[in-house]
Amino acid sequence: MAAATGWERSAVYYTPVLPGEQELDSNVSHEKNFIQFIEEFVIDNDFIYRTQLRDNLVVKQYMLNIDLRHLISYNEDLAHLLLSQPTDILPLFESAVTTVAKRLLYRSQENASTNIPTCQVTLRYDANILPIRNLTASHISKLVRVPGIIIGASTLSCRATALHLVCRNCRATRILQISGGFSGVQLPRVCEAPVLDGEKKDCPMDPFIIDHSKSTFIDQQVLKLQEAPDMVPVGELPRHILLNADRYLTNQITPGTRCVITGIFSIFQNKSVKASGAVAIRNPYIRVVGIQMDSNDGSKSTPLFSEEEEEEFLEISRTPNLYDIISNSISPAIYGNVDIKKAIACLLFSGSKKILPDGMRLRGDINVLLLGDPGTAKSQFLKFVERLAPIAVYTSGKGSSAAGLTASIQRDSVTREFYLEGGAMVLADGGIVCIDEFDKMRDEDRVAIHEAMEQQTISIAKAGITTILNSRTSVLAAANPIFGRYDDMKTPGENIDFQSTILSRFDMIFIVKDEHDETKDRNIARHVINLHTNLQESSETLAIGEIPFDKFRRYINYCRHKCAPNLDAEAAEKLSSQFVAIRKRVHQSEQDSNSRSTIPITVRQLEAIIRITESLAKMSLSPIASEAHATEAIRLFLTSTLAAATQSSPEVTEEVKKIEASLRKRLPIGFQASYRMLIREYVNGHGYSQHALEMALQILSSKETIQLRNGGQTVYRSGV
Amino acid sequence: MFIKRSDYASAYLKIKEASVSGGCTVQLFVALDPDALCACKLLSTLLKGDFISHKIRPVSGYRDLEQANKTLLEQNEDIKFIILLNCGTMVDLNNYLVSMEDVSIYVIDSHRPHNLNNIYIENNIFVFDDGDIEEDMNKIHDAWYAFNSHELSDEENSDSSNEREEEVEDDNRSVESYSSSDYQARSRRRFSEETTQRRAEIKEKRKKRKEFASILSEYYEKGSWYGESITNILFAVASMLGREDNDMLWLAIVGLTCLEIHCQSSKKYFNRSYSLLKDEVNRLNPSPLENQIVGRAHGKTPHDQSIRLEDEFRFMLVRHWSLYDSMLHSAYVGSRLHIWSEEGRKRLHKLLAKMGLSLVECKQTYIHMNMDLKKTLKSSLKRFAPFYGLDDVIFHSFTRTYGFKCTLSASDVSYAISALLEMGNTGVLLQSKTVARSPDMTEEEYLEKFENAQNQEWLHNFYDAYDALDDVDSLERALKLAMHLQRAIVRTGITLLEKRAIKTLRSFRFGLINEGPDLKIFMHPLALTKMSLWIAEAINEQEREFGKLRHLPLVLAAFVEEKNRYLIVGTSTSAFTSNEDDDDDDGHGHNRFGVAFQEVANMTSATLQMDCFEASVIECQKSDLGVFLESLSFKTLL
Repeated sequence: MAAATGWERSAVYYTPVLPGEQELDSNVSHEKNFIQFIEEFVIDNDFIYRTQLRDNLVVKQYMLNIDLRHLISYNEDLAHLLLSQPTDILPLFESAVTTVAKRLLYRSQENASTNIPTCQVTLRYDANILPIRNLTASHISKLVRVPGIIIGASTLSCRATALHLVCRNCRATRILQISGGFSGVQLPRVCEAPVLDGEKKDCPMDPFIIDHSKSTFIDQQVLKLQEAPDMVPVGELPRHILLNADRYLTNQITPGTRCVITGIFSIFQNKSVKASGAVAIRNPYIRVVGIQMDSNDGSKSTPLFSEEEEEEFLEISRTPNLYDIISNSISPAIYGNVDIKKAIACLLFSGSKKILPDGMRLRGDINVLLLGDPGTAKSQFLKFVERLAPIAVYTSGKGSSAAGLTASIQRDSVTREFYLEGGAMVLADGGIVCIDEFDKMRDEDRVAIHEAMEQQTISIAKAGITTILNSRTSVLAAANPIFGRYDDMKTPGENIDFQSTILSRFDMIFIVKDEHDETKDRNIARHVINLHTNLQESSETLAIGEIPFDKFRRYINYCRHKCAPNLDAEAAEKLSSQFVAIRKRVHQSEQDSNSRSTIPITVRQLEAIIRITESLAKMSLSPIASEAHATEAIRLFLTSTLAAATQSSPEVTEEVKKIEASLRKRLPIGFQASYRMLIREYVNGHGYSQHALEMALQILSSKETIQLRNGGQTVYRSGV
Repeated sequence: MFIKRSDYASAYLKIKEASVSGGCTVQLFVALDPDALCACKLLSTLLKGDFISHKIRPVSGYRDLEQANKTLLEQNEDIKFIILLNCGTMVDLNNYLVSMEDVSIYVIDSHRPHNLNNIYIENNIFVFDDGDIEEDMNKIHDAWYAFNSHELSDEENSDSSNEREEEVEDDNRSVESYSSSDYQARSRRRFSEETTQRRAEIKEKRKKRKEFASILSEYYEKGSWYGESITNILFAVASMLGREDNDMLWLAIVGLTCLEIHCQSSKKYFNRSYSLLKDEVNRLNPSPLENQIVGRAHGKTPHDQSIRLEDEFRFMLVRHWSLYDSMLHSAYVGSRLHIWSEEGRKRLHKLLAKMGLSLVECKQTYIHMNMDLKKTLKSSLKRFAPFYGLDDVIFHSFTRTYGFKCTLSASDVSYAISALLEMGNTGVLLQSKTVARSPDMTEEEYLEKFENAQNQEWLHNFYDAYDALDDVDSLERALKLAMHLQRAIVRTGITLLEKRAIKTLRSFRFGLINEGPDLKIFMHPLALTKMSLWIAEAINEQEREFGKLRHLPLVLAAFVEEKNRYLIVGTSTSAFTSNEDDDDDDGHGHNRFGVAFQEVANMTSATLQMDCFEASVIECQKSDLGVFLESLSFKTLL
């Protein structure tokens, strides 16, 4: 039977000794059982594994994915063995699969000897998950299931499975099998080739050299798995562990993916530890044997949709008043704010991106800025979008630097080379960046995302690296007005502490004011209290809205990938005429208020409306954006950006304007009047409010028409 | 009329004969409970086998039954047979069903007491008798017969009719001694004696009448209880016809287990049905021969659909949950160990520790639990469970294997389908949001709308469950629902006990659920009944420790916000006491609440609604709860 000694420890060798002998528990019988399992396992007349293996072989994928539950229901002892000694039993399983694969490929026995690579067995395991911090020495060499986020993935390296060694003296060859994982290999120190009679054995110590061309290799990738943030106990740093994936499990996951890893908890000896002299200390890692990704989470490749799902999505897209249903499904925990929800729906579905013949790209992503009083659920929206969007990154303005948002240069600790590490905007490529506390960001940092927002690229030229990274993201930002609360007395420009450059890049800007209104307040109160009292319920059924959360998420993903609507003629006509009208309106209001609006209405905003129109069409999977979509898009735009651009409180400004005009008349250039006299004249005499007078003085002084002297006691007319 | 056990087959053959002409001749009305569901499935399999076209209409309550009957029958002249499954026997059906001459009504119902009018009046209503009418109710039959024949006479002209009767009797008696010679003398003598004799007779009659009346009222006053599982009755029909197979047998087993887990089985029938089913299982599922299992582990074959006798634990859904959760949430273990308290949970941990199971291992899903532990689980439980009062934690039950897919035990399926009946496939419960209230609706209109929506939903759930009976995948999915439900029950139960919210009133205990996250679940009577069984068991167990042997029954009310009403359930016995009170041969005994509720309804002005086929379920206006409870507390409920 088995003979496994020396340095080749975890490879298993076996052979039946006597033909008639059947020994239970021998590796032979295990392998036979595995073969039987693969060939015989059937549920509802479907030979699951035979079919799967055949399908895989056709496309030259030498692998088989096994659900352990099936193995348990087929033969519990076998499954138990596999779970408790995976390092020993998995190779047997793989060789069993290879045998079956050969049988499937070559029906006749003659060319059965033709070599096919060893098939890989990946496992699907549903046992309870084991957090990284609970992995202990007792789990070594056991099958474990660990959840987390992949935070780093190395490039592929090739690992030898069989080294072809040649003795440099006698040219004797020898093949050295190497076990998986990080385990190293030691070349045999002496040549053991049989010596011909009469010749003297004179091979020196360490005579072997490796013949790479004859060795066999497999792909290997090192991944870094970190605990998911929600599993980290309060006050602790997330821990991480190295993963070692090989063959078909490589290149399966990209950094940022949440997944559950099934693997063998193993150990390796770290060089640095060895150097420090602690010989007995080993570092843990996990040899991956199965990856379960959270459903289409962050997968950047085109997701696959089954036929039933497509059917279901088409069903959804045909629902009447889908637009309302979708907007209701967004953050159902938040009361009201219907237009914001609609805008966020547009942002989630996004418009169509276009590539012009000359290679110029027009972005399809919609950027939304929520600007408003504290306690108006802005951050809630952001958090919700982060969870809902297929790809999303959430940052807070104060905690993000320019480099963190775009890209930073790092120096590799081993190779001492510089490499780029993508920031939030790069990681969220193809998705959404949610930036909270946008106003608290330093201006220099904010400027860094200008390029990303419009050109959708990030250009880097530092430390010898000159490159352009893609950053095709939508930005959903939330900010407070300049004084924390929105001041109705001030113009939007004074309330918003942003430059027009950044404002113009947002397709929709919402000013969320915390207004007092009894019925509304009552409704909100009831809503919030309901939420709190039924807390458990709402957390269990995530979406009380009309589309369940997960389905909604899949639907968004589906729409984003499958649909790119175009404007039809009427819609285009409508948009262009409306744009002209909007410009006119802005011009008018600029003339009225005598200042240029901080929120500019430019061609960018026309593009914005087009994008909104497209995204509205996309929601119902219609290939053409019709006039109705355009109308709704314009409505949305008018209630958001334009309302913000032309906003002012009419009754106060009227008053202020009158005072302003009369002050101009009353004080010719070079004249001055005392503040108290002005109060007497305007407030007591004409019945204006003192507040309005102050406003008017402030406006005039900011235009440098007047100067306030003597600590504001005298008003001096200094300019035009 | 009633149909004796031995006549089941001929009753069925009548349906078959009538349907020769084709057309849809059979209408099934099915109550919304798991047993009726299984029975319905079984019956429709039978009917399908005979190519008898039939319609199934689940009904949620008496009103629904009446309405369905009206709408479905009046337009359909083909219908010759109406079959009522688990509904109807407790009321006089003549009041509920449109009687038509050529329509026969078959009533197969496990609720008791029977309404005697159904079973004794000779008309087109046929009640399937599970044996008790034939065997135990002779006295009642006599009483009823005598009482009713008297009643006619008594009201109008009792004397004369009595007289006539007497005379007829006398005539018969003395016919041989008739002779013309002493006719005169006799008649004279009679005449003189008549007055005294008559008086005595009338007295006698009154006494008798009283006796009969008391026999009858005793029958009704006993409260409500349950007869044999109707699935088993139908299985008996099938086996008389020689048509039984493994699927039907499985349905019968599930039906029986459903009654058991809802504490509705009477011990007498349970044992009989159990041993019968056991024999059937052995007959229809011969154990594989020795040489067949060689080379294949566990002797399973891919197309194995066999039913096996197996010892089960009283942990619900243990095969699909983790051992720990299953123990924590099952009523039996939960009540014995007092898991609502911290100490109780510690006790559970200790038991597990004694059995050599680490908590980590127990919390692992059962299939992935260490194999050795699984193997030793039974023996170690046998050894250590008695220390914790879990004497009969292991009971005999059945499991069915579905190839390599899974193995389900009868109780798994029962829990799954009752969860489906309560929550439906989606597990989303009806909410006020989904039944939108338009602003101009009055209270009543909205109530009606909501009730309709609720009925619709329940009927929908019925079909989900019906389909799940032959779809293993959806059954497996439903197991998740059952777990969710049980968690909710335990969670709510613990809250009630912790808050000491169960008040002891004069003749019963009362608990009120009017808030909490799981309130919506308890809108369904079935779920609320389960809840009340859990609590009753817990309280009784607590009391038993203090040495109390008689326990007060429990009344549990859940607030249904949309209806502005309370749903009230009365439970008189608790789940597992029957094992100890062996002298009580009726198993789970009689539930007096049905009668008591009725009396209260008659006595007070409270707005009550008894629509459910279970007599012990009632709905009460929010404002009337106080009045209701007050008058209920004057009733004797034990």
